[in-house]
Amino acid sequence: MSTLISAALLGTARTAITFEELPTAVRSSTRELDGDPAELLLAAAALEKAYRRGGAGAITATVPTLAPGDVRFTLPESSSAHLLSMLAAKATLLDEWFAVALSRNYRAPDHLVAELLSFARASETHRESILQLVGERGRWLAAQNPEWSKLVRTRDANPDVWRHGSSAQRTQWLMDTRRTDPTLALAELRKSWGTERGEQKAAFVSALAIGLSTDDQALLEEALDDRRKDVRRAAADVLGRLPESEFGERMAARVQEWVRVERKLLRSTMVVLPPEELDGPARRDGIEDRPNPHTDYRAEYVRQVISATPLSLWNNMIGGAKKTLGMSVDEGWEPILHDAWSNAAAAQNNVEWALELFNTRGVATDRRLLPLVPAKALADLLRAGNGDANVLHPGRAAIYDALRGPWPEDITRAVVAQWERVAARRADGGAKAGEFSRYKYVASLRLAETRFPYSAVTLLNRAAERARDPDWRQTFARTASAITHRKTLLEELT
Amino acid sequence: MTSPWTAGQVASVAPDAASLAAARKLAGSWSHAGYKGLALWGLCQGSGSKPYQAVVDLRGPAYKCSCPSRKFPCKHALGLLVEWSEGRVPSAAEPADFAAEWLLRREEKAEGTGEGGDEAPKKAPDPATAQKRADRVASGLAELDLWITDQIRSGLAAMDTSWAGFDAIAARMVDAQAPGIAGTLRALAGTVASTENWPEKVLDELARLHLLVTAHQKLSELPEDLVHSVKAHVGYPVSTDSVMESTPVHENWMVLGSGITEEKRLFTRTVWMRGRTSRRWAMLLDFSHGAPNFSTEAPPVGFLVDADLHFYPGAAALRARLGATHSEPQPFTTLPSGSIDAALQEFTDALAADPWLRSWPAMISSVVPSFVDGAWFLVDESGAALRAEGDSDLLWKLLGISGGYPVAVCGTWNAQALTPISVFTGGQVIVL
Repeated sequence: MSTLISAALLGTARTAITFEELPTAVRSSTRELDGDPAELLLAAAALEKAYRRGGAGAITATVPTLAPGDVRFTLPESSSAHLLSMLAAKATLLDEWFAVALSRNYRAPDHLVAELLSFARASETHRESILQLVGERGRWLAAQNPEWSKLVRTRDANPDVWRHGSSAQRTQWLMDTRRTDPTLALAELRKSWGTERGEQKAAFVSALAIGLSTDDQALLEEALDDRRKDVRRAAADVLGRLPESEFGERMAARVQEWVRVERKLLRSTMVVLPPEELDGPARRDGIEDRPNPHTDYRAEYVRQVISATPLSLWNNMIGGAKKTLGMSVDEGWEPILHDAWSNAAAAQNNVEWALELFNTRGVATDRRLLPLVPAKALADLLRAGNGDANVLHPGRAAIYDALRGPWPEDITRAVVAQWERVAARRADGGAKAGEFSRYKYVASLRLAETRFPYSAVTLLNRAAERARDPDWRQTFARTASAITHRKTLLEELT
Repeated sequence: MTSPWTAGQVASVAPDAASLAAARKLAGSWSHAGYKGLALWGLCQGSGSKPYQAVVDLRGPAYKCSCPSRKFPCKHALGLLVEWSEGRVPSAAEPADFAAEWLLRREEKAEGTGEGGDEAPKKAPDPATAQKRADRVASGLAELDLWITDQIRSGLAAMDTSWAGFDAIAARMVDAQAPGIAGTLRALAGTVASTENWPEKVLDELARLHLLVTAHQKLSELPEDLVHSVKAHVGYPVSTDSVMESTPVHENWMVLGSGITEEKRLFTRTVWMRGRTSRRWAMLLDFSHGAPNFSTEAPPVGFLVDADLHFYPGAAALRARLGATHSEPQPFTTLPSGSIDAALQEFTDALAADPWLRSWPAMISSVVPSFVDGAWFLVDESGAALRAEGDSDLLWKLLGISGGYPVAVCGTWNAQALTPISVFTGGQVIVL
């Protein structure tokens, strides 16, 4: 349309129009046209447009490779709809739902894959679960979309990324490869260790915590002598998670030097005698001065050494977690020892010690240990407090949090009963009624939606009938309905 | 009574997933809920003192709620559907007072023919009025042609391409009762602002309008079908009665897609259908102001409807109204084949009959969607391809559905690209 458009741009008052360059068929038709130049041009333009549109033909293009097959079952239709609405609402049930859906070998239906990838991109919370659910089709689709391709970084073991990638890519490669092939990752890190830039080394050392084994000792020992403090610190931290290491043995030797068991006729006592000053090897192992206004500076040495010492040492020295924790200690040392053992139990993932520390310390237990404590022990502690006025005391929130569902009947009943007492106080009104608002109990109510057993629905509906406060009545009914809904959702997957 | 909807059906009417989740949270807030026949109602206690009044008419379906939400349906209407689907809404002898009036009005409306947006009044057209209108349009179009030729004479480079410039002439066309042309002119202002090669687009559109004006001047010399096409493009109204009086086309119509669009609070529902044996295309349109509460029920996508269609007259007739239906809709699980060449030929035939057409439906039975260097294509077995365009979410969804395997795609072709509407795979139609 070049000749017509240039004439139209200039205006027929200023330029003559020519049909010479039009397609032959159009040019021959223009002979039948009449009118002034402007009308002629418009008519010819209409003709040419119709000619080109009507004659539009196919072009050629390449097709993508085929998406690999996925033998898993497609999610039922209603489950798919529920999944989208749960994702939009960031529902608490999602963790449980994904666990069930993936264990039952479901995959997302193809028509939802694109939408689910958008969710995975927008939020990190359920990214891994979504990516598993969309499976091969999702990887295939995401690889073609520049906005999604990062979601499915190819996790191949090819060390080229490690050798030539950016620092973020290299850290990612190291972490990914530690999960699948820790030996290869270690070998690659060893090869380049001497020439690595200082600021990246600490991150690389920390990555060794994934797939950690005694094979990693040599490099970690080398890192303990690094020029940079952050590298030395990272190495000591990682070595502290490896009880069967020489580092652990050195720590154990220190403890044996500093802590003595004085056996007397009736009872034995633990006597703690830290040195006045740290020697060179201790400083090399990461023990440092950490001023603390509440304790003696030497107490901090003890805290650090015991935190990094294999817990098995105490079995040999005293005999088991229970016995060790039960032993009497020099005055003032107990809180420091408990804290150090908690650190060690968390770093070494030691279930026996976690349980014994929990039995000793109760609600004051370090939160990092609660996931290691068996559900029965957690429940027993909550039961032991049922005589209390408030089973939902804020101090216990962490224990409820750690108690996996479905909760035992008696605990469920106790929690509902407590809510009902609160609701009654709220209905009575008075100056402090605000304390009994349902909003003060959001955390426990939200937890109940995913942790209560299905049988709680009856309890909650009865509570709704009895409640005199309209807000609480609504809350009870809503919680009951959320639990019913959860039951439906999970049953759909069976 | 009708059996309660499944959770999936409720989810399908939700405007977005978040609304559905919000609706679920309303459990426990309901009172005075009930249902009778195809009507549902209930009071929902919100944060205010006065509860919201939600009513649902399952035909359509249509919704009404006293809340100020702009979502449609709002979470209260959805919540009511959830309550009902989970069996918590009791049957009632009579609708509650707050619901009765609205339901009654809808009942009356449904008994009429269901009037919508651009329909003409039902009373018989008065020949004198019609002539007056024709004269008015003719004089308006003469003025338009003067404006068009002026632009070409003085050159598009010197044209006033501001929004106000186009709006002035568009407003004149509204006065001249040529709303179709006014719409084209207003859209042109946007094209100029957003397109780089706007002179080409403007010349195309001016040439198209000039052709329309010329055709309108020679209306008496044109074949009858083309007269209807010209009038439709100018924007003459067509009375529903005259359409329903036309000879119906009885066919097994495959419902291939449906969608709702909104412009300035006017909601338009489009349903695409194709004759199983005749391969004839049909498009049902329904309009609703303010909210997508359509008075008629849309035939279900993926079903075969044995029915009479009354087409709006025209040289390339597409828009139709649903007449008598002869049996219950049946799902279909196969599609007749359709090639790229056949779709292009259909478009060419339609364009030859009505040169003002912008697009025409197309169904291609075996193509692989493909995304290459930022452009979308539909490619057949021989490697022949058509460009595809549209909302990017929908195109990615289409690609996800295909997985590199051939699927059947239904859409509209405008000589440059195909805009997908639905996809058929595994014996099922999925609306994009």
